[in-house]
This record gives sequence, structure tokens and C-alpha cells, in this order.
Amino acid sequence: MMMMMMTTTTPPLLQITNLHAQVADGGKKILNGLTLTVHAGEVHAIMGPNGSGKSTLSKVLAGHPSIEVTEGEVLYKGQDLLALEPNERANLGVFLAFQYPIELPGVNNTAFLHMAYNAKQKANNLPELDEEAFAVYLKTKLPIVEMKDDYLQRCVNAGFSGGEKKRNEILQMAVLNPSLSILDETDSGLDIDALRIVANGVNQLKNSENAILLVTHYQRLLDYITPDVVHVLANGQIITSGDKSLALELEAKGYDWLLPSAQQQEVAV
Amino acid sequence: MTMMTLFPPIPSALDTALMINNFTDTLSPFEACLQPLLQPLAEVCSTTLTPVQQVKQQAAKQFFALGLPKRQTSEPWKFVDLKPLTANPLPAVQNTLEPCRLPYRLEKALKLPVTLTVCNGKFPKDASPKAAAPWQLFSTLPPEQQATWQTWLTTAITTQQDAFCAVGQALTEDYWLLDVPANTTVAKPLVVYVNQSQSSMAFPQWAVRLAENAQATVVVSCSSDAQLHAYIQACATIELAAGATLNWVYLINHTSENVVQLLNTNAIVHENAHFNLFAVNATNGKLVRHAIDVALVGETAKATLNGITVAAGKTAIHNHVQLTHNAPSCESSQVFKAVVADMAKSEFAGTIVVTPNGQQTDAKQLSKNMVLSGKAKAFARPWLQIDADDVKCSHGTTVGQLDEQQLFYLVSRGIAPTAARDALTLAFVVDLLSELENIEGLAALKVECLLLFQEKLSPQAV
Repeated sequence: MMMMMMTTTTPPLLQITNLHAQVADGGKKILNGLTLTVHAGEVHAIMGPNGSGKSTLSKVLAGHPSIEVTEGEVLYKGQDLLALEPNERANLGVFLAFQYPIELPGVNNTAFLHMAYNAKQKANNLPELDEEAFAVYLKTKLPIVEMKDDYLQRCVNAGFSGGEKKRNEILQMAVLNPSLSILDETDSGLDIDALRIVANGVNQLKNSENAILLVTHYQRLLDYITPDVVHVLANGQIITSGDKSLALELEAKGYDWLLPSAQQQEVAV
Repeated sequence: MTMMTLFPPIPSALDTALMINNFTDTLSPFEACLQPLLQPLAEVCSTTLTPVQQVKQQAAKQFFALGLPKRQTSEPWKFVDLKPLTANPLPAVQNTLEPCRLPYRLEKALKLPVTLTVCNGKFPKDASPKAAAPWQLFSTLPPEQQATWQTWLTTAITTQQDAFCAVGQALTEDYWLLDVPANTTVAKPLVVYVNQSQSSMAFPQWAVRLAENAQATVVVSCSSDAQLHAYIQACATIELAAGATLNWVYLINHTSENVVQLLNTNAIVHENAHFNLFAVNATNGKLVRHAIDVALVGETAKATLNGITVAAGKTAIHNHVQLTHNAPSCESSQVFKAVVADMAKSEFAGTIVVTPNGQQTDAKQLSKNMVLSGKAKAFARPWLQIDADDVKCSHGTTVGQLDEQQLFYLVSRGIAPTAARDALTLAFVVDLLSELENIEGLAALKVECLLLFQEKLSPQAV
């Protein structure tokens, strides 16, 4: 398969090995030995039926406290990612675009972006920007998601439409310039125009230094953002991987034919 | 064999009496300190007194008539722990006028000149206002004007029902009088500093009369230097004639922990007048109680009462509101928000009273509280007492904590958890703070307040 053919001398950006995770405090087991390697410059799509563990994987990588890792290893730029606090991960370049972006009434969008930007700069011993300089920097990022100035004066996601929220996520991605972006069902709830805008934004931000993990239900997003690898996640494991044609196949045939129970049934017949 | 006691003994009448008196007993050192100051004032022959002294005498008499409240029988004091006031002997009244440095960067932030500084309870003698100023000290008024103020203040004092308030009214050195003539707008906000630079008792008093269609804005900033002990008993007595508008802003910001401030704001609002109160409490002082008593007595009178409390450490802040609709078609709105951290305590107790005269009342009351630690407490006691049948009254209260999902969202963007908590806490009060921007000349106050709150919540971060 595609992944096997790739040979590279640089260490992977992200290396997940035998990851097991469950809902915190002894809840349901969701990831069952997931293994995944992502190199800089790659776009990986993670597809799979409802409840397969796609969002859980996103949460584990971002450090969400609701998920507990019970086994396995995640190396990010050679570092033990799971040992880091969520804000430390972010400052090292891990970014999660939320499936359901959180509304923060009372928190000004510009102030929020400024705070996040300076936190990252500070953590990396880089110069922080004052309000004025940040405003100039921010302005250069707006066209990436075709956002107007007035979004910046509103409170973070408060009263935003579904599409505006997702665009705001990509704006944050543009401002923070992460090395690893996990887009958790960024396409869900978007109309065609918003999907195009969001996908265009991601394509502009994609480069040879960073990697993107697209978590999605539908092939539609992949018409706009071309993945290098497509993985199918089921029952907390990656059960198969392939190139972008796999996504088309899934679109046509659904997931059933890949699932272990379905395969067994075929054998039985 | 001994009998097992199944029920605790029922307290005897004597026990109950002792329990009720207990509160007064704990107040006895306080009373003992004040008695020698108040008694002679109440008893001296009034014909030898100047008008301001007669007003003070009236207040002393009112104090003895009312007596200190009993905690068990006095609803407003039920949750107020007066230990900070009674545990130590009260500091002395300072008799020398210390030059007070301007303690607070507010002046710079507001870009407004200071109208008056009350230092350690002393009104400055030399600070006679410029000819055009609408304010005066009672004792320096021309004699012919003193009589009307005397009558007015005496009435106000004899109708108020708070013995602590009477202490301040009796022991104040002087009254600051703001008198705005009809159809006059005071161009710039008046800024009054109340500062403690020495351990002291202080009794600043403000008396405000706005004539028909007059308008004014007053900012009162109360602060004290670190370490000192202070007991501040302050009162604003306000009457707004028809069509008048008064914006009255308090900023209570004591650096010292050993400060107790009891504050009364009593306002009478006539036809179509608007009393707009904004009380910001961000103090280190152990106890602040703000009793707000507003009476809407003329048709379509309006009261807007907003309060923000941010308390950390062992601070206790009480906001007690009594809002009376005693005329038809009046409108009132109360929004009080409190954030309590560490072992701090806040209380909002608010009563809307609608008398049989108050048909077509539109009254709203809201108390929202955020509790940031397991040991912090927020009490909310909203009440309605409605004796008219055609009214719109709403009240609500919420007590909550920071939202974990919101916190994670901020942290996932690289923001440190402490900064994320502060940002969300400030977000909780910022919408109310924006109301300040609607008062002309006070737009800069919002940013200043946010800084103040930040200091209270994370002193190390600033």
C-alpha cells in the first residue's frame, strides 16, 4: 500500500503505536491498539462508521481530560506527546479543530487569538506581539478563510453560524501555524460554499513542513482536500489503509464490507 | 442505667433569649467604642449647635432609637459575620489632616481631575470648590442655605432604619453636598476619593439633590493603603427631582485586609427621574456591606442597579437591596454578579417591594454567581413582595462554576490553565461592565475594572 511504499529518512511527525484508550474513570473502551504514522507534508484522512473512535483519537491527541489512555505510545516530533499538558502540546504545534467549536461569550475573538498566539511565542522563546502588531498580523490571515473584520470584534464563536464557527477554527489554525492539525469532522454541518471556503483555507495552510489529519465521515471533503493516505477506523483500530481511491470505494460500498463481522459472513456464505 | 436522650433538649425561653442577644453581645465592644462618641452628641442642648451639628445630633438620636440589629431577628444581617468589626478594638478617629497621596491609578485611567479627596474621614478644609462647582461642604455653606439642607437631611436621617448608617451620619466631620439646579447638566463626572492612609474610623457622607431635569455623574472610589486597620461607615443620601438623571459609581478597592466598610445608598426617585447605580467591589478588605435602599415615588421613575463583586482571600461582600415601587409605571432593573475565589463569600439579598400604588410596575432582578473554589461561598436571596395586581416582576439567580469544555478549548489553543480560568472569569462579568461604557466619560473605567479584577484573582500574574 501507499504507506508502505513511502520511504523517508526524516523521523515521522507523529507516530502512534498500539494505542488503547477509554472514557476516563473506567468508562467504555474505545481505542483498541491503534497504530498510525504520519510524516511532515502528508495529509491523512481517517474515516470510519459512527462510534469507531475517530473523535476519541482527536481528543487523545489534543489531551482532552475526558479520555484516558491505558496503553500504547504517541510520539510527536520524537517526544512523548501523552506526557504533555494540552497547552504544552498546542505550543509545540498540535492543533485540534473541534467538531463542535465551543462558544466563549464574553471573550473577544481578537483577544483570544492574541492570547493564544503569544502563549505559543513565549513557550518557544520567540518574541510576543503587542496588540497593534498582532492586529496587523491577524489581518493578513483573514483572507485565508474569507472572513470579515467584524468577526474579530465578536465573542469567540458566540452566536456564530455552524459555518462561521468552522471558519473560525481554520482562522485559529492560520494564526497558530501548527505542525500537526487534526480536523475533527470540520466538514460536518457545512453547506457547499462554506465547505469550499474551509477546504481552500486548509489547502493554503498545507505545506511540506506540516501534516494534516482529516477526520471525516464523508468522501465529499476529500474532493476539496486531497489526502495522501486514507485510513478506515473501526472498533478502535485502523483496519485498512489506502490511497484516495479507497474513499471513493467507501462512498460507493459503505463500511460493512470492511468490518470483521461482514467479512466473516461472506466466508460463511 | 442512664436514660438515653433521643431528642436534644428544647431550648428554654432563657436560652433563646441569650441566643438572640448573642449578636448584640458580640457587638458590645463595638458599641462600647462608639457610645462615648455618640452619647454626648445625642444629649447636648441643641440650641447651641450649628445646623450641621444638629443634623449629626439627630443621627445620634436615631442610633439610640434603633439600637444595633439583632442577627436572629434582623433579616438583612442574618448572613453578615461582623467579627472583623468586633474582634479588635476600633481604630481611633483621626483628628489631624494627613496629606493623602492619590492612592489609585483611576485618575490616570479616567483622565478626569479629582473633585475631592476624603482622607481618613477628613474633608479637606481648603478644598473649597470653584465658584461654578455644584458641590459644597455643609459647614461652609452660606447660612441661608444651611436651613434647607438641615431640614432635608434631618428627614432623611429619621426615616432611615439602619443603626450602622446612623453611626456614620452622626460621627461624620461634615457632609459633602451636591446640589444641581434644574435643567443643568454637570459636564464631567465628579470623582471623589475616599482614602485611608492611617488606621482610622471614617464616616464619609454624601448628600445629593438633583433638581428637575438635572444630570450628573459621580464616581466614588474607596481605597486604603496596605496593612492598616479601618472602619468606614459611609452613606450617600440621594433625591432626584422629576426628570433628573444621576449616574453613581462606586469602586471599592481596599488594599488592606483589615478594612471593614459598611455603606448605605439611599435614594428617592421622583417622576420620570433615573437613578443609575453601578457598584464595583474588588476589595481585599475582610467585610463590605452595601445596603441599597431605593424608593421610586413618582410615575415612570426608573432605577438601574448593577453590581459586580470579585472577591478572593477571606473577603466577605454583601449587597442588600431594597427597591420599592411606590408609584405607577415605574421601571427597575437589578443585575448583580459575583465571583468568589479562595475562601471568599458573597451575598446578594434583594427585595422588590411593589406597593398598592405600583400598578404597571416593570421590575427585573438577577443575581448571577460564579464560585471558583470549594471553600468559596455565594448566597443569593431574591425576594418579591407585591401588593399590586397589574405588575411585571421577574427575579432569578444562578450559581455556577467555570465550564470545563470552555476551559479545555482555551487550553487546547496553548493558553495556560490559570490564564484560561482568568479569561473565562472576566468573561463572566464583562457584559455587565460594558454598561459603564454607556455613561459619558466613563468608557475607560471598564478596562481599569478588568485589571483590578485580574489583580484580585491572580495577584502573581500582574
